[in-house]
Amino acid sequence: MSFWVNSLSVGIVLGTPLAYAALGELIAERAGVMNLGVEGMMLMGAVVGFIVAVNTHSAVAGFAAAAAAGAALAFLHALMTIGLRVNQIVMGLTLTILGAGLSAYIGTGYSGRRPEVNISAIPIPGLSSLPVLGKVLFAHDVFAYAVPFLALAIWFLLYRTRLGLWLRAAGEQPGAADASGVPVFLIRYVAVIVGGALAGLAGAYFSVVYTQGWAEGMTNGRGWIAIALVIFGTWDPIWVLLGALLFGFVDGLNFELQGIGVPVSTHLLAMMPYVFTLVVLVATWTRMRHRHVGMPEALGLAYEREAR
Amino acid sequence: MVLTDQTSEGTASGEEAVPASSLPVLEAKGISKSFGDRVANDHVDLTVHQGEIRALLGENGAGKTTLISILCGQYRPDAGQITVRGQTLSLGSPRAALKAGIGVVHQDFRLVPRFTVTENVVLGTSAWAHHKAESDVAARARVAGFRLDPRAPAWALSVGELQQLAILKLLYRGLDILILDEPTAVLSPPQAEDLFISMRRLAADGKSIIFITHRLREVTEVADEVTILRHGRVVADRNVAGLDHHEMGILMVGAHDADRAIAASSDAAGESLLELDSISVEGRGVKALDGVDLVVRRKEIVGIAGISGNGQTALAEVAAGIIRPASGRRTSSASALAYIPEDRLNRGLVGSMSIADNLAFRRYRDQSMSHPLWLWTGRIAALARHLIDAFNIPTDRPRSTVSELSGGGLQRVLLARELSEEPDLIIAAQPTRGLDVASAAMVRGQLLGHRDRGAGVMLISEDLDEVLELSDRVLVIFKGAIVAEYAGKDLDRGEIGLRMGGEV
Amino acid sequence: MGVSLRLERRMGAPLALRIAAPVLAVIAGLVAGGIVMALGGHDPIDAYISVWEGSLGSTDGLQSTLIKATPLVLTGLAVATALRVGLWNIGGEGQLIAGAIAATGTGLYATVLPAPLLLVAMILAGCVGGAAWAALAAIPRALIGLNEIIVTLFMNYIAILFMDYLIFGPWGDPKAFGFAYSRALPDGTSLPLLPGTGVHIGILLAVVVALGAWWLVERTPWGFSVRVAGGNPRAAEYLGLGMTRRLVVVLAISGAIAGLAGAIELTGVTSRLQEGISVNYGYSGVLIAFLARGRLLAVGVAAFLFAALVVGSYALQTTGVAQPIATIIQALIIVFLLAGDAVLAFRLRVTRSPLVSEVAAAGGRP
Repeated sequence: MSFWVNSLSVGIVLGTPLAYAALGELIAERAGVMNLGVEGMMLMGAVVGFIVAVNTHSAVAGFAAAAAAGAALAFLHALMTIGLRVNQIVMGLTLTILGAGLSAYIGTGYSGRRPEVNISAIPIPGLSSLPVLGKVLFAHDVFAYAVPFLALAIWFLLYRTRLGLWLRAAGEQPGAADASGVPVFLIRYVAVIVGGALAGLAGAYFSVVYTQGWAEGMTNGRGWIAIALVIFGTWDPIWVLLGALLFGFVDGLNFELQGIGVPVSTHLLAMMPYVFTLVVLVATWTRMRHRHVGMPEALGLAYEREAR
Repeated sequence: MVLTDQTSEGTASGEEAVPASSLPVLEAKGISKSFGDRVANDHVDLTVHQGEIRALLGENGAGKTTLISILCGQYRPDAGQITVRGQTLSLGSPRAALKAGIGVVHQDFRLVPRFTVTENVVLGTSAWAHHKAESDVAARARVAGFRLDPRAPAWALSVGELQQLAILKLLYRGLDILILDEPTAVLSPPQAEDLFISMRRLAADGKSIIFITHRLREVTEVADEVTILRHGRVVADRNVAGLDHHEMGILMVGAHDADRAIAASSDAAGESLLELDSISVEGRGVKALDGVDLVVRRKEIVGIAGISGNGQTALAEVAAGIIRPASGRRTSSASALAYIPEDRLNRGLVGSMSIADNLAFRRYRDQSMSHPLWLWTGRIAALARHLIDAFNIPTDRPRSTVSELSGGGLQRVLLARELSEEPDLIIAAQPTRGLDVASAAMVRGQLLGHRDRGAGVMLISEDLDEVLELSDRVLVIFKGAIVAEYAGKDLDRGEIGLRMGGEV
Repeated sequence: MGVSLRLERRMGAPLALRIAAPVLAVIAGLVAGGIVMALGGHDPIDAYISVWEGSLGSTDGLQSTLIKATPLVLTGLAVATALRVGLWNIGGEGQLIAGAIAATGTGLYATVLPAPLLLVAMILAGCVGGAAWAALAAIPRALIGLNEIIVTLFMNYIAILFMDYLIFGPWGDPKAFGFAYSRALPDGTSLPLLPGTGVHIGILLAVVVALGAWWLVERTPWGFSVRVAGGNPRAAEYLGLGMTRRLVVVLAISGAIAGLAGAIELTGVTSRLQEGISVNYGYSGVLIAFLARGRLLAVGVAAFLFAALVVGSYALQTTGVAQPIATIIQALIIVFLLAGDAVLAFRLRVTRSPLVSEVAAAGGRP
């Protein structure tokens, strides 16, 4: 029993940063901009958040700085892809490399140090003492608690507000949106930058909260997983959240399995979410496209007013 | 100037007309606009009154689209001014036009397929798609006589419903000068009838409508007034009641040489090269082609006259064997087919490849050009140099990418490739569109030369003069069907104009 | 009326600009990298001198550069080849690893073959492994239009985890004591060295493959048809060229090239299947292909310069500059190149636009 409880509990911890990054990417993609630079933005968030937290002893300052670092990198992406209409794939990859290089460069000398800030778990009085559920759901830090609310807030924004309507229109039919008076360019800029800020937070969660240390390339491909999760979750914040938790849980399961020495290869287990996602995508792609759900139609395409 | 006191008489709407004393809602005066050397609008005047349906009639290229783009602020005119209810409109500003109450329903509707009806309607306004908006939208739809479910996604709507949605979007914004850009082009006849009923209802409700069309029947059926444009000028500004179709047809296509004879007789025509046998092609909800029978023989040019959007693209692609018809049979005994597609760059050329490669497109597999393991690049380059000379392609670098050429250069590359191979069947869709005078003359000369050599040519053109000048036989296409055929001397330009507008 | 700046598309930029833009971009990238170093309190001139000496400016450096360039040439070619048919192969990483796995498997189990033959078999197995891995990603794209970027990206992770499984599990070296690598390959399966150097012959293979790929795509009728299909699918339809098979075949060739890189790294550098056999070579390949504008022969040049920068930056440690500066400079150069492209494609126009008050009024209309 404690094995599953631990796995689920660790899963939520590991799924939390994934959810932040994936939800950020979701916002950008719903506005029509694919940002493959999530990994780079997370690394920048991780290193900047860590350095600020180490030097100020303030977690809040660290996270704010991390969000700003992610947003700054995202702004570069926006400037290049929305403003100059550079290919989004190439720019995203470049951003990943830039973030990896910059974070490694400015993080030199910080490996081995500790942030000396305390983002400890805040058990919710009463609920946390429930059997099983208490430890799994109600003994986490504030970031984990905030995730479901963030996903709901994004869902609400997208489907229940005017801004959300405009944002989705910018991602679906920027031409139609523009003709209707929606400020397509502004919306895309803001969406990409907000997405970057969330990726920065996700990175800081790794360095400041989870491992409490900085190491080069420490996000270890999780930025790419976040991008995959957006697809896995069919561009819907609730499904993206569930996907992030599923990935986190599988990660946690590995962690726990290693701990108790089970003879199943953790690597094969870790492969499962990817294989599963691919199979689901292949199986549902045709139907998804047919039913007009999922991928924003103008995703990846720069918008340009027709040349007159 | 429009005689407003006639507006209420004899209108097809039959609705109670607005008092004759009403002031013009929109007045455009002396609008001129040129693109380079081409004059698209030449001192155009247009006046619309409240509650009036004004048709804007003209052939393709007559300047209709330019004029509405100016009215809705997309283009800034070179000269002229527009007043709306006496207030001068700031020109070249879409937002100012919207603010003044001018809205356009574009041919492509500009809607978001995945959005619901309500979401599409409220997009861009201060509202959003909550329950109140849904009931608002439903109410407005009812008032306009539209049967639209406010929660239905746009992708599930028929073309007619999409059009209603696009109109509803303008009404929701409180716009009262509605411009409908060829609204019937995509509609089936019953859908068009529904649209006309809606238009009359809206006019009765005090909206002013500018209705763009090139179908004469539609003008008499729904419009109160008509402005006819030809070559960028207003050639008539009249009350519809006093006009018959024949007169309108002549005004639209020009009367200067109405009874011109066909250039050559078809006596020389030989065996048939291409036979289309009751071909039908499905378009978007309507038939793009509807039971077309057609024969092209050796040594003749068959001209297809018609106004664009009546099935020409489908006809060309079926004739060239690119698309399969939904029903009917295509038989061709031609051994070499040349195809000049209407959309040259997208259909006919590869922008990322070199000029030489694009010229070698159709013969790179020939023995003279390649072996399975290599291409004879020297020969391909020699071919390119030859064709560049022969067709005056404006480049001295055959290896530069083709997309670096100007529009005229692209056309010449395509023509050089298609016409240099001694084809025995040529399908030419709008072959001279966008060309300068010299190039157009060269193309016409080429087509005649191939005809005299023994090839059969199908010439699809919106330029009636060109069709008449070159063709041995002329077929008129309207709404996907061949509605008339003329050969030899029994040709009346006015009558062809009438047929192109859908009149019997 | 207010005044605003607007980008307008233009047809064909002047030749001088087209030459100047990439040169300026590289200079700008180096200068920006220098500023980053200066901010860190280092002398950028010294740093660039040691980069030069550590890479192209010394025999050892040149040799290391050639070794480093080998996988980069190949992954760059893999991406550029796929781009010729309009596909983004982001899966070079996974295909490289799939190739290395196939080559390792052959080396460990096909030991009946004499060593030189075994080496050849391993190299071929690498190609087949990469091709198969890429074809798996191409099929959903060709049949149902599933975006190849997503699939190739995912398959990278599957390949990496599968390799981890093998080297920690069935193929693991019992004497590794927790280090992640496979058992040693049989003797005689290392790539021979170029005479008189420490450089394995992989670079020659890479050059041959580059020439071969260039020939195939640019100089054969089949390659012509692929370029048509990639350049304009509608025109290909007009010529009666089928897309489905071309997509799969081209991506398989692309994967074979990346798989070859895996087999070469295995037999030329690591001698065992191990974690980090690919140091983001697949992703670097995308950037190299982009730098080369998709032109196959230019890929070699771009990969060589890329490798020189990476190898040269190892020398930076002696000057006290952190080695990741190389990555930063690479990325900055690419950012400037991308911006340069945009400048070539568009021109800046000053236009008058409606006042903010007008905009607000129009937007606020119910």
